[in-house]
Amino acid sequence: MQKIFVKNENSIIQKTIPNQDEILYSSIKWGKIESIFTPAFWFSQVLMHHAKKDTFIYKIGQNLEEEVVVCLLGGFGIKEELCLASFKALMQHKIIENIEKISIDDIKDILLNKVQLNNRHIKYRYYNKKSEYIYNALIKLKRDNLDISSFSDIQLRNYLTTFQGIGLKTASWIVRNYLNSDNVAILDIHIYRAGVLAGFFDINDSIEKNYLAMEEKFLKFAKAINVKASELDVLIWSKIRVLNHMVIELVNEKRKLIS
Amino acid sequence: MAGGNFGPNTGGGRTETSLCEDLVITTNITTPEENLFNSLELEDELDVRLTDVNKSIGLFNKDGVLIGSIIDPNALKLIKCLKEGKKFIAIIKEKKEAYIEVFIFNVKKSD
Repeated sequence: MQKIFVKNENSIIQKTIPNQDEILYSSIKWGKIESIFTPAFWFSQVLMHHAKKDTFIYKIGQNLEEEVVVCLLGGFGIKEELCLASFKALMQHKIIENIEKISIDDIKDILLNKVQLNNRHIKYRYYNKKSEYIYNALIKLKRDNLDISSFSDIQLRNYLTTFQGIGLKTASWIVRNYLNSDNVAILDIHIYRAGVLAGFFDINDSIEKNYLAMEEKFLKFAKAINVKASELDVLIWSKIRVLNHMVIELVNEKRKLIS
Repeated sequence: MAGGNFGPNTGGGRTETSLCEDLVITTNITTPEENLFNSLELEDELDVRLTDVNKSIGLFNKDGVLIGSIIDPNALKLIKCLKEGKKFIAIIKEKKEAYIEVFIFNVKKSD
């Protein structure tokens, strides 16, 4: 067995997990606890996260409409600070309450206003598309007027993917945030690389082509190491980027070995 | 979350932006070589080095013997700094049976 000691306030907790060569499932081995990117390593990261009583707050908005807006504003190419500042600007203009009185151009005008971040004035990128997506999403939510509280997380995600500009990843992000869901995964290139290195994704897996099958693999992995999928998702995403260069090299090495 | 894109995983806006020089970690030796414990004393200095083809962080005593490894939440950041050639040392702050707590910080190469 491999031992891990974690300090939890004033007490010291000792946990054991199987030896590095023991099979987690299929051909995936636990790996060494201290060796980064192994299943054992990710297990230890979640364990330490718990010991520090550091909780992730996923929800950003006050309601589903706000969560949809902020997640549509975020994503690839948009820094967190700019996303949140743009979101704040849209909320100050009460676009949700007034959605039937305003137009796409009104949202675009708000996004075109530069926001001040770290002494720089920055304009939101992709304002054309995003203003259209946000407007159409808010109109659809208003007109559909569905009782979202009766939806399961997967039902909500399926519903959201019928919106313009919302694919499985963004829909999963909204659902994870809004419902604290552990039944969805927010798959991106960082999670893919972590999965390849830990062994729960195949090198040829494609998020674009097979999101749901990969999500199933991710959720199976989280269950196998007995951690919450939402916590594993965010911990992998936030940590693996620190060593992005090294991670890319390791994935490329694995690709060469297989081909 | 630090820099880069506002990715799909961030929640309530946390930032992690520390330089290697500012990186200090209080953690414990998580996979200790228990037979070496008795030789360790409080305030002992351990060398912090990359092991396992840069995938692990090893703590070595003055004789170059591997005492154990760490798996702190900041482990990846520490690995990045060590790969950049920054030097870190660990000081033993607490020792309770198999639990050994260390304080890790950056030192200039000439220190």
